[in-house]
Amino acid sequence: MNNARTQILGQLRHALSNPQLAYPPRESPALPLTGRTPVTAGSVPGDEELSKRFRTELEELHGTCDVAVNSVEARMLAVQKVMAWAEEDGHLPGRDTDSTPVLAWLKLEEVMPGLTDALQDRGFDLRHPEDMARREDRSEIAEFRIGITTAYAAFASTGSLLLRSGSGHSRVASLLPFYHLAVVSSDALWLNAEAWMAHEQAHQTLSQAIRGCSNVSLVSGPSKSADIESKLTLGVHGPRFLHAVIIPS
Amino acid sequence: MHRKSFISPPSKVALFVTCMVDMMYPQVGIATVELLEMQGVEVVFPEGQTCCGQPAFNSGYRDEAVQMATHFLDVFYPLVENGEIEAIVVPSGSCGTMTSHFYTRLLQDAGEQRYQAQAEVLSEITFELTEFLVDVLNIQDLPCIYPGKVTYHACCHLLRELSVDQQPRQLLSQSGVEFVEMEGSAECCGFGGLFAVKNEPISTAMGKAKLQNAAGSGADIVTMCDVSCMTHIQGLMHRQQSGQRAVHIAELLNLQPGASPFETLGTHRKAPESAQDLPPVPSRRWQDIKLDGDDAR
Amino acid sequence: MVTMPVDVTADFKTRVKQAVSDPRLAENVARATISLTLKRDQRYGELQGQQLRDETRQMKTYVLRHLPQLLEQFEQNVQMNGGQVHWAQDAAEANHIIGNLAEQKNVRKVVKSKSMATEEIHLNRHLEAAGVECVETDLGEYIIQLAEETPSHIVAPVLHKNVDDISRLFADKLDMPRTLDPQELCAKARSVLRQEFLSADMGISGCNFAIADTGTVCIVTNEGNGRLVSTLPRIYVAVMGIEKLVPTVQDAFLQYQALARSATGQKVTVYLSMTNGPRQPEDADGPEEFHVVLLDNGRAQMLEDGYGEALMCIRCGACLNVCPVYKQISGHAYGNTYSGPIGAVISPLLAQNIEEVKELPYASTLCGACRDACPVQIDLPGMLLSLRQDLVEKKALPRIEKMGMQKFADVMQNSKSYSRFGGMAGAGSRAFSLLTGGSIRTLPPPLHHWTKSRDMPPFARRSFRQQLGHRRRTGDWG
Repeated sequence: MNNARTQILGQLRHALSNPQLAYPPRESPALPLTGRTPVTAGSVPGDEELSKRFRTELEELHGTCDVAVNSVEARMLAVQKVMAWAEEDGHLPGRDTDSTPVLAWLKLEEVMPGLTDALQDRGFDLRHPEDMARREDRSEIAEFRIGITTAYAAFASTGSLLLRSGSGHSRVASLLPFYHLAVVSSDALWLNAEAWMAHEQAHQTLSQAIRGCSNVSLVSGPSKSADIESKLTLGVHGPRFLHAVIIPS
Repeated sequence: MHRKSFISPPSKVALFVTCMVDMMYPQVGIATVELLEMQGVEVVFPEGQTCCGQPAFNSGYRDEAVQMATHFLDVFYPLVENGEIEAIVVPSGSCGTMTSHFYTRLLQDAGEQRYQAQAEVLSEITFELTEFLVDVLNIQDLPCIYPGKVTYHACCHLLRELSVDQQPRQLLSQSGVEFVEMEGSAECCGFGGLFAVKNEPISTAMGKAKLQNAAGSGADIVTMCDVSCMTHIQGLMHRQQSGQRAVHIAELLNLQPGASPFETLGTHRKAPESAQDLPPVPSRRWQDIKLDGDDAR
Repeated sequence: MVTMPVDVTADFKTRVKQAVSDPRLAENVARATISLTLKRDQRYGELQGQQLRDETRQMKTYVLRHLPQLLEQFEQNVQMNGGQVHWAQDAAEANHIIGNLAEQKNVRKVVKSKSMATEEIHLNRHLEAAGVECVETDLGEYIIQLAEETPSHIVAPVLHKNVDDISRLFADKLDMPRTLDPQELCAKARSVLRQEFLSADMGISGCNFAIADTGTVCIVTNEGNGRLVSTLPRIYVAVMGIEKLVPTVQDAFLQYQALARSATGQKVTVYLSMTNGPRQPEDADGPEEFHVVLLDNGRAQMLEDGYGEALMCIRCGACLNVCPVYKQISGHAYGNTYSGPIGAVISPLLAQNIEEVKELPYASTLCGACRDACPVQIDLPGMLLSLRQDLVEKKALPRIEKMGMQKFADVMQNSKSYSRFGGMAGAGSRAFSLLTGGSIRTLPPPLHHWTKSRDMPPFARRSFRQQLGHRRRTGDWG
């Protein structure tokens, strides 16, 4: 298909070399472009304000959020949420099952130490996609109802989580389950994507932050659709419920 | 497009009456002349004027459009060059757009540099009637009298090419008529020149949607700044024996006490009482549409 | 069984007739387009909407001007990330590339995320002929596939159907009890499609935009099917038009918000999935192979022919939602992959046979609502005018029309012939009006199209200029 490549690039170059070309103008803007409107405007507030803004925005997107006062409370809130979901779903350990499997990121402990133990004490079996990497494990992974992840970054003004794939950070944990719990350190919280990008750009790490892994996903609320009569439906393919717990630094 | 701002209001203007007004709706031309004269403006009528060429231009017949454009410029440009007139006034947003906006593009593409330069000069001093009254003559209201409700249909070229919208609305709301808003007043009525004939089923469906909105406004007159859209809308109304009428804004604003604007279509049998007799068309008024799952998708 | 109101294989006139005579279709389309437009207005109202539009246009203009360099940069970066890049000049080449890949890798089932580019090249038809099963996974596209139809909108493919249509379809095809609850229908689709995702060998998506600087393919969805398609199967293929590039990560976010706000009135969509390459050794999941197909299919020719502005389109569908013509006839009447104003512009440019699409540039009143709604401010009415000129120059229109226009121009170049014409037309029209006592109810061809639904006033007995002459002589209009 080398021929196609040569042909296409050749035709484009030929077209652009025409001084009479209707569009684009010969004097086209130079990079970097003058400005880019932030997704949402606003000043950069303190931690607490950011957390509240994140919660408000996520709730507007039909997600839920707890803002904890300390790491102990954060862990407690996370455990409570998982138990409430399991109960609602009919998979409460001790009542409905002997042990309920939960799909979790391997590196959960780095953000919320003790969560694994706390959940295991209550009869949850935390499994990691890394241990189930064979294709035959797929159907088993698909059966998990609850997934737990952290977030690389979170954007308050849009209620968004930035998830980077990589070691210990599986993609399916935030995608296949019906319930998705994200534990987010307030250190990872930014006003908006532009603020985060400006920070990374200042350290010349933005390109690497995006391309340094195989996949980056921005997640803003639970899966939804309005394809049927413009009516809102939730949990179309991804999680039906998304809950974030924000841990203060 | 920048419009010339005048130090003192122009005292002498040329009227580009448009071929449709000339041949089909002379009363609109008369009203335009009287409105301008009432404000102390002398109106000159260049006898050589014909059609601006928009039907050809819009259909892609560029050569024919160029012929008509150059004829128009041959008629009007000398008057400007000699200082005989200070502005050109058109009782039509569409024909005004053709001569003040599309001519420059058309003549540039055709390589007619001399005419293109003339067209650029004219485009600065060409005004749609209500634009001229409000923006140039600074008129806030007019002493017209009409004892009924009036709504306004924004014709596309006037609204989106000339950006004239507040001017006619202001004249209507400040004058002696009861002005009511209509849903979707800025949505195209479906005329579109030859589109009305080439794509009759679409044109008619669009027109019926417009009539539905007009009926919903409760007005008995739908007024607008173009006789082309008016012919389409009034033609549909008349066929459907609607109680409403489509009337050019010049006629309405020039109404004297006791006069009737209902001469437009000859005999009109039905009294303007209600719009009940419209045949059923699907609901498309904005307020009828339910917005479930507002932030979905 | 629900039938499609519009037969996409029929000719344009028939399609339009079918569309406008179905009141239910109009209701369904109005509901969706009005809802989408309201939400979009609200989202643009929140910020400096014009500024966002200017910046997006500026960025896309940059992309066009530097397209060859950006394509090379993108290719190099995808390859560095471990992906493979294929170039396709036309639909046949693209289908051949993907078909070969499927055959070599023993692919039996493909899951697809919504993609207009693969609709454009009719990829499903090609793969299925080769024995590869294709499953559309976007809820709307899935419904379309079950109904054996084609999308009627760039963003909301099934907006021409209501919940009752869909309920019947699911009852018929999926053996589901009848329900009018969209959530239940959606849950059914979830469970059926989940099995398809798990058993598919290849995922195929389009591409909303791709970052040249990082070699990243971005897809924007709300349902999550885009993430599933690019995560679960062992091979992931993205098919993208060559114009889909943005220079940098920041530009990607600029286009992302222009797209989300214009397409669906959202600040952000639920998912933005950015794929750089296949899974890394340390990854728990992700595809083993990542392929990008760069599709030309007439785009370079569009640039060369002076229609480059249309290549800045971000496929948000805002122009469809505000278009009064689209609202009356909906997508299928356009008879092509792309409908609405943007479809009327690019379908003729992408078409092999101009005869099949020559009505489209004329299927517009040039009202300009599309240009005002476009987040990139593409001059769609201007391009429709240019396309009409091209058709005239190619002599693709009836000869009688050309002769008529020439005659018209001749008459209008002289005020004497103009007045003669006015006199004759006036006499003729008044004769017709006498038949019906006032206004004209029937006219001969081609004007009979006018009087199908509209009356016409006869010409005035005395023209404006005659009355003006009278006034000059006597002081009154007479």
